[in-house]
Order: sequence, then C-alpha cells, then structure tokens
Amino acid sequence: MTALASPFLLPHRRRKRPLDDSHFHGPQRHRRRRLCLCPAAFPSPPIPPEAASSPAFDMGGFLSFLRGKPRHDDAGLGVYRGWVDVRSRDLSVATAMEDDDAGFGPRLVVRRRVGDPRKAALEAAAPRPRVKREPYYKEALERMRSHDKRLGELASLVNLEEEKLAELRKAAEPPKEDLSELFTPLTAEEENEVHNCLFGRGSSTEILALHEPSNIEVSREKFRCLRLTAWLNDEVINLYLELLKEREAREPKRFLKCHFFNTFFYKKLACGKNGYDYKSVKRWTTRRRLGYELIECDKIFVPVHKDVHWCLAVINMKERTFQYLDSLGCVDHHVPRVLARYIAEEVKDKSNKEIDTNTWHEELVDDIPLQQNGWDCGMFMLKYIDFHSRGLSMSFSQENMEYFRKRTVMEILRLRAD
Amino acid sequence: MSKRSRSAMSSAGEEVEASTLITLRVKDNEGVRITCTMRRTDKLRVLIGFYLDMVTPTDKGKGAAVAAAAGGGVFMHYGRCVTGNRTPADYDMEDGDEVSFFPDGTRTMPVTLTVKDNKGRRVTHTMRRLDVICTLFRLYFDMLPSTAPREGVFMYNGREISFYQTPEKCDMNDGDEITFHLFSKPSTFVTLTIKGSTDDGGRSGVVVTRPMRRTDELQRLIDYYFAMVPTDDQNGEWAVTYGGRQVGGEETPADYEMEDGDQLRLVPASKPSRFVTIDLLTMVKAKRTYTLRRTDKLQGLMDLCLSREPASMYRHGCVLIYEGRRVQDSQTPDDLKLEDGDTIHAIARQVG
Repeated sequence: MTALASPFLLPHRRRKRPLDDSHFHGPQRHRRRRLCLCPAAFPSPPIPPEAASSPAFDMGGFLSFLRGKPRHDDAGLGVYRGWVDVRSRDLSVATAMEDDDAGFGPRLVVRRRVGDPRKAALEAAAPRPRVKREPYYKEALERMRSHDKRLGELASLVNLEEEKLAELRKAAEPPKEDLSELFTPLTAEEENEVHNCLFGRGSSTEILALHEPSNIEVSREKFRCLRLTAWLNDEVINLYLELLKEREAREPKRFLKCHFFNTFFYKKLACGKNGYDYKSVKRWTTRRRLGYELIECDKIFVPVHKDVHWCLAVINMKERTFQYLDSLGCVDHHVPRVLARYIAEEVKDKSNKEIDTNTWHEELVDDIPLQQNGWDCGMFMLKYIDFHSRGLSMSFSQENMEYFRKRTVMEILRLRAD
Repeated sequence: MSKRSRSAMSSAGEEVEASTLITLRVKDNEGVRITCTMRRTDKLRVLIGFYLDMVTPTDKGKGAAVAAAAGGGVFMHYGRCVTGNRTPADYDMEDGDEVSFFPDGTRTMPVTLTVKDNKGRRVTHTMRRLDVICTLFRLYFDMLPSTAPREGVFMYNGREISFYQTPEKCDMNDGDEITFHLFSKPSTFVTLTIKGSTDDGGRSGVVVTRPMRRTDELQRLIDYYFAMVPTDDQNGEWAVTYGGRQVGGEETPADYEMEDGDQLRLVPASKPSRFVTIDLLTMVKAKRTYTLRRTDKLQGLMDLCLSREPASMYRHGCVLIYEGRRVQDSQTPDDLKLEDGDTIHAIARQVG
C-alpha cells in the first residue's frame, strides 16, 4: 500500500507543481524572460531555475498536504477527482509546452509516461482493499454468530440448572412448610402495623380488637402487655385462646380436637372450701354452650395462673395423661389431682360415662423449653398450647419470643390465628 | 320357805359374823351360772353388773351395761322383779338363793351377717352384736374388684344402714342378710309433664306427658303440648316455667337437671319484671344478693363490687364472669338473659 500510495501521492504532487509553476512562473517567467532579454544572456539562465524550484517545492508540499486529507477521507471521490485532475493537468501541460521553453518540455513528457503506469497501478490497487474489507466484515459476522451459538448453549445450561433447582426446592418444601408456617417472618407492612399498635400514638382506651362471641375487647392499653419485658394479661390470653379454637374449627384436619378453658376456669374450680368446687364451673361446659362434650376432645388445655406466673395443665384424653408444663421448670402435683377429679365428675355428669382416673398417668414434662427472663411466662404458655394443639414437638426457644410477641399482636389485630 | 328363813335366822343369830354375809347365784336360760358373796346390806347392782360383765364383754362402762341390761332383760327372784337399787335384805333373800335372768329378746352370742348385691356376690362375716357394722361393709368393699363401682346404700328390712350402727341396734339376728344397692346411672331419657293453666270455668289444666332425651330441646315438648291442646294455642301467648324460672325453648332438660316426673307449667305470658335479683360471688367467697333493673349496665355492679372489697384483692381490676363468659361493662341483664337466682362471679384480673 505504501509503495502504491507513494507513487499515487507523488504524481499528484508533481502534477500540482506544474499547475502551480504555471500559475506562479507564468508572470514571473514572463517578467524574468523580459529581464533575461534585457540583461546579458549568460547570468540570467542559472538564477531563475533556483528561484523557481525552491518556491515551487514549498508550495507544492503545502498544497499536497492540504489536499491529501480529503483524499484519505473520501477514497472513491479522491480517486475520481485525481482522475479528473489528471485530465485537466494534461491539457494544462499541453498549454505549458506551448508556452514553456524546451528545457521544461522533456520533464512534462517524462511525467506523462510515468502517469499511465500509475493509473494502472491505481486501478489494480483500488479493488484490493475493497475485497479485503468485505471478508473482514464477514469474518466479524461469523464470529458474532459463533458467540450466539455459545449464548444458546449457556441458555440451555441455565435452563437445566433451573430445572434442577426447582426439583430440589420441590423436594425440600414439604418438611419446611410446618416450620416455616410457625416461624414465618412478618412483612414490613405487618411490622409497621404491630409497631403502631404497641408504640403508636392514640388514646390508650381505644378498642383495637373486639371479639364478639367471647365478649373480649382489647384496648391499646391492654395491647401494651405484649411489648417486650411486659407481663401478659388475661384479655390477651383469653382472646388468643378463642382464636385458636376458631382456627381448629376452621381446619379440623390440621389441628387436634382440643378444648381451651379460659384463665378463670382453674381459679373457680380450685377455690372451694376443700380446694375443689365443681358446682361453680358446672354450667361452663354444657353441650348447648360448647357444641361438643369434653370427652370427645383429644386434649384439654387449662391455663393456670399463680399470682404472677402462668403455667399450663393439659388433660390428654387420648393418652389418658395429665401434663403440667411450667416455663420455670417447677412441678405441682396438686393441679393434676384437681383436674383428675374434675374430668371424672364432668364426664359422668355430661356424658353419663365412667372414667377411672386412678389409672391415668401424671406425666412430669421435663424436656420443654424454659424461659430465661422474668417476663415471658405468658408467651411460653401460649406457645405450649399452640404447639400442643398442632401435635408438634416444642421446637422453639427463648430467642423466638420477641417474634412470637409481634406475631401474636398481628393475629389478635386481625382476629385470625394461622 | 318361811321355815328355812326362820332356821337360817336362828342359826345366824348364833354366829354374829355369819349373819351379815350372803351367797347368791344368778342363772339364765342359756345355762350361765355365776356366784357372788356379798353383804346383806349391799345393793344388788353389784351382782347384776358382775353378771353382765361376765356374759357380755365390752369396752363400755358399767353404767352403759346396766342401762343396756335394764332395757334388754329382767332379773327375777321368786316371782318378783329385782332392781339394782335394792339390797338382799329388802327381798328377804337367804344364803344360797338363786336369781333368774330372763333376756328381753337380746342375744349375747356373736351374730353372723351376710352382705349381698345384685351381681350375686356374698360376703359373710361373724361379729359381736355391739360392734359397729362398718367392719362388715369394709370387708365387702375389700372383696369387690378394684374397678367395681362403690357408690350405693346398704339396706336391711327396707331401711338404710349407716356405717356406724350396730347389729343389736338394728335387731339383726344370726344369718340375716344385708343388701347393697348401687346408685343407678341417670338414664338418657326423661319423662316430663307439662301442665296447662286453670280454665276460667274452674276446670283444671290439661296435663301432657311425654318422654324425651335429656339433650333434646324443650321446644319439642312445648310444641307437643300445643298439638295435643289446640285451644290453648288459640287463646294467646304462653310462657313455660319450671322451678319458678321461665324456660327457653332452645334449652334442654339436662340444662335444668330435670328428672323423671318433673312438671313444667304453662302460664299466660306476662311482661317480665323490670327487676332481676342475682347473686354476686366475690373472691373472698362472699355471696351478695343484688336487685338490678334489667336495663341497667353491669358496670355499676362491678364498681359496687370493687368498692366493697379490699383494694389489694383487685390490684389489676375486676372481671365479671357469668357461666364461663366474660361480662362487658356495657352489657345489661337483658343482654345476658339473667334470671332471678343466677350467680355472677367477680374475679380479679390476672397478669403474669
């Protein structure tokens, strides 16, 4: 290219030079010729060639540089213009021959001869770069196409991996469902709702939750017992037990058939003269009121309140067992005895059947999670009931209590336990 | 006799010491013979007590024995009744005389009793007549299987025997049987009677009897009555009462603990009284009776309860409970359908 380009450029420069020379040298030569004719013949010939050659070369180089750039920019146009210039130069050269001396004539003739092979060279060189460039584009396209193929392969790989992941997730979902349901984190909206309920501004006597079947209304002040480090009160506990009962009635297959006594039941049962008073609670569990009888239940939950502490007693009708769960790990043998006497009398009175509670077992539950502070006994009792009513093992601990408090607030606000 | 006594007196006169002593004998029809020497001026109570002590050994004192003997038999001496307050001299007894004892139906031998029940079990036990009979009952209970029911009564000659009576007190004889009757379970059916109101013409109300399940609604019985007596249905509105309380049709005999033969009365429906009298049972087992207007809010009752109780009792407040349900402050007796005699419990709020 360079070899080809250089003669391509050089003839242009040379051709331009004659034009320039003709333009500049015309009047100068005329003047010089007059001067030459006027002065002596010997000193005049050596001075004009030197003066003419030096400005001609300078001007030619400058013009060639200026014209060179557009030529590079417009390859086809440049060639075409070059061609047109050659023709015009040919004509100009002819005029110059006529005007110029014999000394300049042989130079022009030499240029013409050189111009023809240059044209041939240009003609030969012109298609070559075109031919080379087009294959380059094709090669680029082929490369792109190859990349596309690779992308396709990657896409298929991604699909395969996604299918594998889906299968793994499907395989993993069933065992996690129960636990995820029990420990489902609250959404941002729910968190905000709970926060507004516990710490929001508003009248403390504003009723935020009203449960009509049980006549329990929970005000904002009552909800504050579900804050961290606060003790639970009977409204919140009794309302949550009512929600658990509704949950079981809503989905009888998922939950055991249970009965949830309210927190005042054991207080009335155990406050008689001899520490036992059945008549006070006889009308609490009529079939008309409950819709069922206690003997039909799998488990009966009795919350036990001890001055400032909440415990739980469970009558397991299916396994014929009395359980006593205390989040402080204490043991009380009096509660199961009172409940044994009660359940025998209740079943005899309501269902006309005999239960020999002497053969029942009193199970001392000693592998339950225990509380590690002084304010979570109520929440522990609620969670004992929740997990027992599902038939699950106690898989929670003290660290979950903050979450359970928030979840309990949310469930009470919506009057629906999940 | 007189000769003997005269000769004895003459011989006694000869020996001053011998005349003051006398040897007497007591015999009964069972062949018991006891002999006792005593002074002529001693009271015969000594002889009688000695005999009873020998015949009926018991932990009771002599006074009780004498009292029992006095009621149970008689001592005779030649056709005259002998009492413990007299002396041998009073009865002109001679040395070697005999006193006869005739028991008044009282046996001194042990008695063998049997307890039987409707399952064919028989438990026999021989015991003293003056022992308490609970030893026999305890033996019967011990012989029972551990799972057998033990609630019932012991019957003898149509009377119930308590644990601390004695065979003698019950006039039991050797070989008698005591029957143990179990308390029967309440049946699932109950026969109830509903009686109409007295007619203007003085004719008594119609009585309709119908058996029904304890768990059926009483509305069926009421409908049955009006089906049997259409004229009463045409006369106007009625209210059914039982035990002085109005009965709701959706309630059941079990709710009112009705038994066979109980009667419901049909009375003309009148406006219920504007007042209701209820009992308030507080934490200190104090039962107070209040008469409220049916339209008053029960918050007043709660405030009254709080004002009369120690402040420390209801530290966190008070809750009214009616049949296991919480009572709201804004509710009225009409909302809870309270009737006269109902009980409301006041319980302290629980926090923990």
